[in-house]
Amino acid sequence: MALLELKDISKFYGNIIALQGVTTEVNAGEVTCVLGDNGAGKSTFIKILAGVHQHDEGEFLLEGDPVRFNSPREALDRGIAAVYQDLAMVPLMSVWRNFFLGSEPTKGVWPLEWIDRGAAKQIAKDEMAKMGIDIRDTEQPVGTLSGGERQSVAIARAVYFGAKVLILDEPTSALGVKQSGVVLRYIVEAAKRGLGVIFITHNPSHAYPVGDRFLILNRGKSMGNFAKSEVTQSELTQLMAGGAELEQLQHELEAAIASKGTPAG
Amino acid sequence: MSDTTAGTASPQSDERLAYRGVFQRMLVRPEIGAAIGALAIWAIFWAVAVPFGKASGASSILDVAASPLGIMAVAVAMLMIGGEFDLSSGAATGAFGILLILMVRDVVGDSGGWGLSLWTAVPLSLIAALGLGWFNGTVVDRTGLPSFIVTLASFFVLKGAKLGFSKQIVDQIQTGRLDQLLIDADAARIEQLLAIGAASGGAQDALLEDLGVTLTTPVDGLDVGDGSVGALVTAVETASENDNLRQLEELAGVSRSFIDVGDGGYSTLNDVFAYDWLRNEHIWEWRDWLYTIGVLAGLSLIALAVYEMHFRRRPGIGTAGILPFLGGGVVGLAGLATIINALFLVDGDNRVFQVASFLVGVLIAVAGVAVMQRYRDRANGQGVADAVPSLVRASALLPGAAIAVVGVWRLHATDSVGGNWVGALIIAVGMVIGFLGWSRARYEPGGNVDTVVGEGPQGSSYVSPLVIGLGALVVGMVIARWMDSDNDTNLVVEWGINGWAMFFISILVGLAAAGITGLRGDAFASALSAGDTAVSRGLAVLLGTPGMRMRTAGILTFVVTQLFLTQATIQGARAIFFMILLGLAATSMLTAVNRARRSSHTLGSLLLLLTAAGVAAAAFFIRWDSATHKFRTEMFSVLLAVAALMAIWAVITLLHRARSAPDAEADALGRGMAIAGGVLVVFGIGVRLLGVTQAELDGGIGPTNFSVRILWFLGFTALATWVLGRTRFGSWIFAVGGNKEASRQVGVPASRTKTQLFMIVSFAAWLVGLLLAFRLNTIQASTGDGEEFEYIIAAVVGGNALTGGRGSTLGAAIGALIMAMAVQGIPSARWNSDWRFVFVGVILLLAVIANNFIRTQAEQAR
Repeated sequence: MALLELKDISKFYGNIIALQGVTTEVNAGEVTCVLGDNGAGKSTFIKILAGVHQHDEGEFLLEGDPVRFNSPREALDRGIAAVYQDLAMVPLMSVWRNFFLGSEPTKGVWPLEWIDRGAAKQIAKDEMAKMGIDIRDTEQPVGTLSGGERQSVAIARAVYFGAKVLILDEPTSALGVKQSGVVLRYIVEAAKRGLGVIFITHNPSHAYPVGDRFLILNRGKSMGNFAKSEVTQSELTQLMAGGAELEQLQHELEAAIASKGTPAG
Repeated sequence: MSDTTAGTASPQSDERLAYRGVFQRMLVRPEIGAAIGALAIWAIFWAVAVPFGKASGASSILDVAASPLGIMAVAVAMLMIGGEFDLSSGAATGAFGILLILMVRDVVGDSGGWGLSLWTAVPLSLIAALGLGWFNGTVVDRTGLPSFIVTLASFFVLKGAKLGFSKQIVDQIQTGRLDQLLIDADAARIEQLLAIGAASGGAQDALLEDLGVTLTTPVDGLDVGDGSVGALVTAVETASENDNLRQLEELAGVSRSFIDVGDGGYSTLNDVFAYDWLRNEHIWEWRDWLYTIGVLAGLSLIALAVYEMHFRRRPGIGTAGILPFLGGGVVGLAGLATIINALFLVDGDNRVFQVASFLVGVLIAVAGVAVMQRYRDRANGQGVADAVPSLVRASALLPGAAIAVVGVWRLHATDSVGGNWVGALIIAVGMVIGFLGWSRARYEPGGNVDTVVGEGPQGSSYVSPLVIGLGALVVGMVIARWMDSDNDTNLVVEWGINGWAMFFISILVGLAAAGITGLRGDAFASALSAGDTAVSRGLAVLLGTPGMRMRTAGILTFVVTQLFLTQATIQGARAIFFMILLGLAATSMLTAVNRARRSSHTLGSLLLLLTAAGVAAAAFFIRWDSATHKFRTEMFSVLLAVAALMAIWAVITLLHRARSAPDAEADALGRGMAIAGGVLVVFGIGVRLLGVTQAELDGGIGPTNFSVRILWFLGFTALATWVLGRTRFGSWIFAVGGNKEASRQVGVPASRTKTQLFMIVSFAAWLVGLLLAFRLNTIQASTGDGEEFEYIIAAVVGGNALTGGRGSTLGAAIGALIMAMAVQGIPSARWNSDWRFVFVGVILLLAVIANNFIRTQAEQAR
């Protein structure tokens, strides 16, 4: 049984069709990549999974049960954690505070209840080490970390808080080549630890090496849902941009370059 | 699974996470700039204004800072960290005071009003206050409008309501008196006593019984129980004629609870909200002992805490048990002090007391040493085989501390000039020995001898600041010698400067300042623009172009010079000149030290020793030259202590190695030591402020009250700081202020947190309203209006960002202290008090600039 299964999911905003007839599944220990260009409906897709929005049609099964989340908290409680593009981090706050934000471990009894700082710092440090990052000073503000490290804090946080399904929204889009490589490695790490990972990206060359399953969205519609064996990287790229359109773009570009003549050097 | 993890991903560290030393970590704390500023401003006023440095001055500063400013500033700071403002907070303080009085008092000629008991009115007004906060928060949250607008509306509603209700009910723009409750109760009591007096024999007994009064002890000249009616009647009549129940109480020896008519809880609550500690009634001969020992031990602990966090420990030496070990040491020293006191200070005639205090001293000392003994092995670290014997290592601090105690004794044993400086010098020597011994024992030897650290100008770049520093020191001394320290006539009068000459001088100085900024201002402007608030960006634009910068600096300097010339007296100007030059000398020489460190550590340490010598020279100069007592003694001691600390630091940094990697254990211990030290210092100063010695009383020291409001302020600040730093709610405040959407996504109840913040502010306004009501008894309709900006200014001066997500309640409390010092200091320095708003404006600007500057510097230094 798949960890998470979506059957013909649709979402409408008034008369705008944000998402229509999307079907895919996520298995434990596997990476499902959701590919799509800008405006393809990727954001709507994750927001439904994470409980920010609710689907209007279709079936959303979590471990076989049909579910419908009313808030991100509910989704989180069922083990679906989303790491958004903005990472849901407070830059001025320290690494450990960000790590535990909203779920701080406490000592004492209310109203004399305080954060167990020692434990929180140690756990944050250990969890980051498991992701392969040595944070020496967890008091450092998150704003001083590099983009990749911030991603890793967000991922480590989701993993630590018992996520079964981890949704990563464009984790590599703002990163350089080297940092992207680091983040892709975390994605593989997370899957190896038994999580179902949903990796949302518009970059097929990032998706293909780590993905086990690919869902391609274009203008709110599913362009296909493939296992890795069923598709190649260049096919993915084609499907993403709507096949014919990309071919046409390629021709146009070639014509433009030809007319400009050979660039010097 | 974790095996593979470790295999595939080896931990890597990022160069961005470089180690930050203890000083850098301190500098990024938001309140540190405010703390330094507060000390500097206090020092300036201390030099020029008589009440500063005395208990009466401290009392009034603390009282002004405490309520309403401090409590509100702390609450407003929490709200600001959460990213919101409350412009209704000032008006709310008055509103809740008025509400309380209207609820309890029969206003308008004893009719109207609610006539509730205070026990009902206080909770009711609290509910109303929380309601206001809830309303503000909910409207801000639901509508998504800026809190600025919403609370501005609340402000006008409150202001209008205050005027309207006051006029409607009382027909005045102020309330009736709250203490009328007490007067009414007294009147009722007198009436009943008169009734008892008028009755006779059995009737009197019956009345007494009715009232539930039993007289157990017959009182002087008035044996009511036995029916001595005459005396009672006389007493009651005398008292009621004078409308003075105190007199009755005195005459009859009865207490207020003699007949319980009830005052609606006024007496009890008055003690809670307006109790006054009368300092002159508490004679503590041992006060100065506790003060000196507490402050010295506290400052030493803080210094040792810095060492602990800065230096590398010797291998094998642990951190466990150090704090109780040092605590035992402090107790032992207190015992030693008591013994010395018993041997030398106690009047020889009082043998019993002398022997008793000697024995008590021995007991305390033994207890302290026992604690040290118990933790000695833990403190030593287990299994260390080192060249230094363990006992010596553990006790390295002791001989120095003992010498210091002897110094304290010398300081207090004699009033003579010679004894005083000998005492201070002995303390300094004790500190040097103790600290060096401790550091030798505890930290890894080796030092950073002649290793080049950092980048920047090398070679002889330290020469010019060194020359400037030494020059400023000498010039300062010459000026101080030349100007009359005992002359309090106005500067312009004394020097015969007329208005035009004054104007001319100010223009010259302004032009000079403009010239200097024109030459050297670029670094300053770029530092400003690196700060991220709107204010600093605005300033950077203003100061970014050389012409603009020169004009700004010129005009500002002109204004300040003009102010100074019109306001300062000869002795005040002397003090200011001397302190500015001393400050210039110290900063220049420390700059020289830093620059020299880059090329040679040894040279840096030598220059630091030279600086220490300069400070010591200034200390002795002040002793020799000054007429004022506080300069001769207190300034001297402080400067000598600074010199000692500098000298020790120079030697220790030469001999030991700084840490280059974090050490959580050492940081935790250091923090503990610093907190313990801070508590000791506060304890020492508190003892000094709260009691008097017989000698002081004989010298005719005026009475000073300490209001319980100060405790409310301190308590509220402490609670707020704990909540902000240690609880989940505190974390959420930073989160919603720093990034509301993000915090919502991870499950922080953002709306609830913000609403609760508004409720905290209105709770504070309620508390302040109560404090005002009990202090003033009657509240004007306009009380508090417009003060919300002062709260915000105090918070900003304390390092709180206007943009939210960064700040500190401790800083806000310090900001309130700074504002209070301006309020108190300017009139006491005999400057025209209208200038205090100029002062507040300048302080605000400086605080914002300094905060940004320090933070950008600290973050660059990473």
